[in-house]
Amino acid sequence: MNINQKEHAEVFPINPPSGAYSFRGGFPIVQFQIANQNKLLDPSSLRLNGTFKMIAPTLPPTRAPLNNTSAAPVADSNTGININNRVGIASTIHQMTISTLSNQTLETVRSYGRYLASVVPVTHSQSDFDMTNQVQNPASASRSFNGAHALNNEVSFCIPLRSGLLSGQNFIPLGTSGVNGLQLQLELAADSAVISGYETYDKADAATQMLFNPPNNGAFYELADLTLSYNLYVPDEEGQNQMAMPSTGSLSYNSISQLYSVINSSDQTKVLNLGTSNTLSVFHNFIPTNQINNYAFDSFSTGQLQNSGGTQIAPANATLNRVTFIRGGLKFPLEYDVEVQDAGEADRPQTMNTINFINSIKPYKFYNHSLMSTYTNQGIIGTIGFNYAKTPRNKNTLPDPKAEIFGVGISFDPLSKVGVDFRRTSYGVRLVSQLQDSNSPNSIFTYVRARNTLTYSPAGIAVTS
Amino acid sequence: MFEGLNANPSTGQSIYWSGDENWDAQVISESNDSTASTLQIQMPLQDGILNGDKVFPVGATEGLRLHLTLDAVSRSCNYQWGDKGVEQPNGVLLETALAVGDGKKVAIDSTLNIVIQQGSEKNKIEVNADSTSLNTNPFSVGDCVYVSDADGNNEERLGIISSYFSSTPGVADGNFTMAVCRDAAIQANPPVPADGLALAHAQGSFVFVKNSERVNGRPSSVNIPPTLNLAAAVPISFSIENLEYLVGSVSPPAAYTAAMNTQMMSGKGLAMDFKTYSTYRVNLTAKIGLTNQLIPATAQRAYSCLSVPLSNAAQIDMAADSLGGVIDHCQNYQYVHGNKLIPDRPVPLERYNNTPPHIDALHLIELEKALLNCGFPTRNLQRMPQHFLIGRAFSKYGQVAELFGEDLSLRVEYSGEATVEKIFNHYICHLRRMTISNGRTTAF
Repeated sequence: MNINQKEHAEVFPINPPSGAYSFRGGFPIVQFQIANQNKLLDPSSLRLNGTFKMIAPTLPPTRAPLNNTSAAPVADSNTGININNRVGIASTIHQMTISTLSNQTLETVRSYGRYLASVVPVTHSQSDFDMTNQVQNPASASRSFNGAHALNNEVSFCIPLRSGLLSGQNFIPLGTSGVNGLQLQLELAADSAVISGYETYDKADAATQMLFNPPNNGAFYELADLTLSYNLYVPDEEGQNQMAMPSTGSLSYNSISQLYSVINSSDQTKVLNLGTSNTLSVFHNFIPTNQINNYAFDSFSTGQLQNSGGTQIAPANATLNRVTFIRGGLKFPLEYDVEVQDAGEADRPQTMNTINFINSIKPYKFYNHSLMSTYTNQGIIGTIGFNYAKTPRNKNTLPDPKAEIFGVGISFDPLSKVGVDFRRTSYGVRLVSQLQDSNSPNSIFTYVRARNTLTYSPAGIAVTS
Repeated sequence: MFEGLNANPSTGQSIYWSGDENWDAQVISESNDSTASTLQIQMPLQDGILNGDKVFPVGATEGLRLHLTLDAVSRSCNYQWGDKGVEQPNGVLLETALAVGDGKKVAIDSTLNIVIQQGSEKNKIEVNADSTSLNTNPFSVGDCVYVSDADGNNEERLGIISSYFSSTPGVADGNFTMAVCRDAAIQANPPVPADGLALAHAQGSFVFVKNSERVNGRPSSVNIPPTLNLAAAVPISFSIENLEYLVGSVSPPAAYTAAMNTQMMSGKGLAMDFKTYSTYRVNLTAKIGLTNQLIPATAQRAYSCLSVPLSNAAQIDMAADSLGGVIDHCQNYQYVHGNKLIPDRPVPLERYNNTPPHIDALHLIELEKALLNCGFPTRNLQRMPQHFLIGRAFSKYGQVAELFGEDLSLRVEYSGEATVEKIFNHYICHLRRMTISNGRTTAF
């Protein structure tokens, strides 16, 4: 099939609200449709466009834009309103569902923001955050203070949707001989999940939380002028005719699925039924359960397990001692435990765990752009040269200190990349930590990357996962 | 981060040491001094077989034996502040003059305060959260310090550091003050002048430690408290424990294994190519002018040459970086293979000699090509002057080049200001072929 032309397309939501999309305003669902057409969709080109506005709790009906300045007092009703600087405006998307126009679901990513909270900092460097990402996602920044600055007014955005299907390199045939068009449904996250404050740091890296006060008055956000833009590749006439004729074919793609559970003891084994036959990797990130959907905390933080009593700026970390990955009751794919207790207690990189975690998101061999450093994870600066070669050092140019990018993960099949069958076998992860038993519930967000096959035929579309 | 790499030499901000040693806020003694951290590391072995893209048939070679030889501690380790305060020429400046008879010992733990000038220069010490270097103290509790005039005369041992603190605690920019315990007998009764320091030392005298005493530790003395004796006796060393070699394995289908066995038993044998490195070391006798060195490489399928100019003097020296390349006023370089000059014109390096050093773009492009051809993705081209090396890719797009049959040499031109005697390590990245035939394994 030869490609004749490339088209830049843009569609509007099929459920436009009278004002703006807003969780608080009762318009939390956005639906887009990409019509059945004899063209190929480049999924990596797909972008969600629109404007984003945060509104302070005490200002309506005037709804003045926020004024975030470093000189502002620690807490009043106007300052200290921000969204997570690593996820940015994508934190407003709680769930993303991609389906065909015949309602065959291809992929559903729940808790999309927490997925990005791990994936984006592992795969993007400080330069990426403060330049490339920030151009399309104004709230993106390596420091939460900088992200807050970018949101002191209504801002436009153009963000990629990083699901497994849409991150793939294979073009998606939209015609009858294909997926028959696509449907995209975005479910917005609660205001209390998206919005919290930000931190400033003194010379000794001690944090001060800037949080609007009182937080329970409820700041909120609005999305407006939403569109979906993407590139279409138009085949030659012969190719178009082929796509218009019902025929049989298949398409392989990766999908991300999410599972939620809670850990509340120092030695706990979580057993999950993944239900996927070609499972490529799994990773988990953690947050104390009481910090989810809580204005006073960042719902997208990716710190260590925490005992009760921690705060946004002083988490009570429960050091991870040991991790074991299990398939069907046997240690798999590692035939040994990942022991990290000594490094964790010394507040040094838990190397064995962290490398497996990175490898579950991106092959460690190709690990080149990342925000993760000893400064973000341990608060140890690593930016000075050897032997008095003075280099500019200003802490204000560094990412937030001790804002950890922590997780547990494993890549099941780094060699053949076919994946491992978990349809009839359970997946388990044993976490031995210093969590205080029964007193500190921590939520585990589990993300599974698996390979799926979409088969289309005159009889319809089937997805094998 | 995960391989134990630490870019920051500043005391208290190292992944190898815990404790912030903020001597401006508190007195630092043996009880709250930095302690060594145990790091968990996981690092790849950058070798063609062990870090290559291919699965290695351990069944065909009846297993693999891995032999690692540890390097000397003086080459592996560096002082966090380089040569600052180490040996007389690198001493820091005395702020308060010392007089004859100072430092009399009335008890075994009596101390004498030594005040050092405050500042960010190399021969001064400061602690400042806003400065480029957070804490520039090169000394530790247990160090034995000496003092001398700037010209090296009038040298006298001051004693073992038992604590250090600011001359104006809690107020920024105080002088660094060391309390030293003199290795001398308790004073006679009545005291005599010989009980204290034997010589007077003016402001601006050099205060320093001796490298050999740090590396080997000091012998115990009856005039020093036991805890301080212990601190002074500790030689510099490192230890590696709980070594494990983590490796993934695959189990091929039975038919694949059978075919491999058949091939191994045949006359043609089972052949496998793998990437490896051959090292050629050349001592450069000339320091200045156009230098030429022959690299006796005979690789038939070569990818790149990486040439690292090392300082001869720094090879076994903890006060210097033994593994980093030195610039030393190099002007340009060019490889010669047979009668071909590669690249066509000399690659300029002059800008590396600026103060502060700048980079030369052509050199970076050549280096990136060479590294990429070896299989190293370029992750960071910052601070190049501090990890300086030169390189040349002999091929592109995964192809190989033949070095055998013609001489390979490197020309590096140095200006008349060059002072360092150098040893060049040339790493030739090339392919080797292992053949297993009739139960015998050969590699060439």
